[in-house]
Amino acid sequence: MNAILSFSFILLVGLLSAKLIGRMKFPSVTAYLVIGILIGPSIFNLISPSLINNSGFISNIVLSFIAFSLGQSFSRESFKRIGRPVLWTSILEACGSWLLTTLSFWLILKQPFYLSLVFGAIASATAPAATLMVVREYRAKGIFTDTLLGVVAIDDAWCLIIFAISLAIARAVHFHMLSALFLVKVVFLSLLEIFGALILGGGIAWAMKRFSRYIRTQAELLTYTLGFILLNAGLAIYLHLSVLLASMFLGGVLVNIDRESSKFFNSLNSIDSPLYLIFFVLAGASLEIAVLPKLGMIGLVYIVFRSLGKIWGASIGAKIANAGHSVRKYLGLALLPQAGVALGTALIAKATFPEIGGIIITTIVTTSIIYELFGPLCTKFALKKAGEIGAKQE
Amino acid sequence: MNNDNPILVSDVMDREVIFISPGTTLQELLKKFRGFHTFPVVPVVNKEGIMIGTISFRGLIEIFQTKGTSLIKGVPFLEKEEVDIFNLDIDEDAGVLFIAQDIMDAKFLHLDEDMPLEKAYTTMKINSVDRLPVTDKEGRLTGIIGVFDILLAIFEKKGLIK
Repeated sequence: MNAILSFSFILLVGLLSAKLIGRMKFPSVTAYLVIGILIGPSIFNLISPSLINNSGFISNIVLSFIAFSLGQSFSRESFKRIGRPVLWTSILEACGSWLLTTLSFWLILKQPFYLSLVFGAIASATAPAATLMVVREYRAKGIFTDTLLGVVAIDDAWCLIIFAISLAIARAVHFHMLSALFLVKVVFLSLLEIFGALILGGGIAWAMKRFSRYIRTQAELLTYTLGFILLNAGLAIYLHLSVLLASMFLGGVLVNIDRESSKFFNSLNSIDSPLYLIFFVLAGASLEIAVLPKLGMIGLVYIVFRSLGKIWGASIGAKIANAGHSVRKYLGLALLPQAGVALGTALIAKATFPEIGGIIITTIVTTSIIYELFGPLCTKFALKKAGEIGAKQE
Repeated sequence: MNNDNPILVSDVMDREVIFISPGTTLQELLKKFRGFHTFPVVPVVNKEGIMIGTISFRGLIEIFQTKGTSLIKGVPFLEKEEVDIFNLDIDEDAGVLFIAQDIMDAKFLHLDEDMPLEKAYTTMKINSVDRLPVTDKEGRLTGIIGVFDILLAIFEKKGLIK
């Protein structure tokens, strides 16, 4: 199948399958991933190989969009509204999964440190869409629900920061392992990658605001926004900086310096849905069936320690912020779904470390499907235990 | 339009603006605007006359959704869902419990009164709005202007309206 035919196939089959799975009350992401696995090279091989080989290119573009959108969470207004419980809980549940998954891969599975670090960072992500779906379906309402939505709104932003830092360290550790100045190089290269990205994102945001006065129509606005997001991502790649952090900082600085910034974020709404669909299907298609039998212990350790990290981290965060009893006890359980950001970061990790890419992407695709199937049930259980799903809604 | 002597927003805007204070209850707000055909963008002004927010139709609906929903709207991968206005979870006490400060959007769009009309029109067009409040340099509410006011000003300048 040629590349254009593959694209049309992905879009139409993806849309149809999402409609079907929606009737069974599962998130669309699950349908996209399963369709990707089915039409990918491991099973029916219906997608053009050139498209699979270039999936890193597509995921870089999509992740730049995602990171740019997540930058909105860093507006002064958002921070005022979310409050201490959300801030503490979101930081600690993300760090909890990062720490526990990293340590369990390193100490229990005896995996190399750089690989453990990458898995730990990916584990910090959650899936806001699945959580919101459960909240909407059961019309959950109350302090627990508000805290939960606040946490999922911001924690993928923490995940991208954690991932960018971890990837910089993992790369430095992996590629400079034999150097005499090992530690100095690790710290220097990591700081350069992170702070360089911050300066780049901030600078591009300033230029984006400065020249937007020449934009006259909404069509021009979309082209302008896309152009700047890609300019930022392209320069980050060229300068060997973190694309994720640069994109997130572009959004984060823009939202704070431009009172009309919402027009840039809104302009992407018209094109993001098909891009996300293609991104998820290609992520599913990247799964290597041959790797699945080796996955047993890795998958199990990943699921157990990521879940424990979320539950304990959220509980400690809620305690520090003096949140209510139900938030301390059940919030982590409601944060288990995993999807988009985890898959995106896994694709980046695969492109950075191709020799272990197969195991990373196969683990994350497989666990994402498991989490997307069972995660929403845990979210529902937590909301019910917190007393925020009324009897009539069940 | 003649750029040597551009028409400014302050030349065209309507200076009679209906606004509310931050403490206005939802019930008072709805009573005030019952006679309108559509719910307008309502400026919220503090005691010093400074505009601190706006209330839109969307803000009015959002208070009956879960509070966290407004925080999550910038997050990617969300399946967009139209709000079912026939099925809102409305408490009877909401009319007195909610005040303008809870409903308003504190990050709002507005125009400067000394802005050229052409720039004001572009701002409205690319932000997909057809009416915006106007403030002076200190942020005090001084008027309101709509796309139709701009069109009338152009017609007037071209001699269509005497």
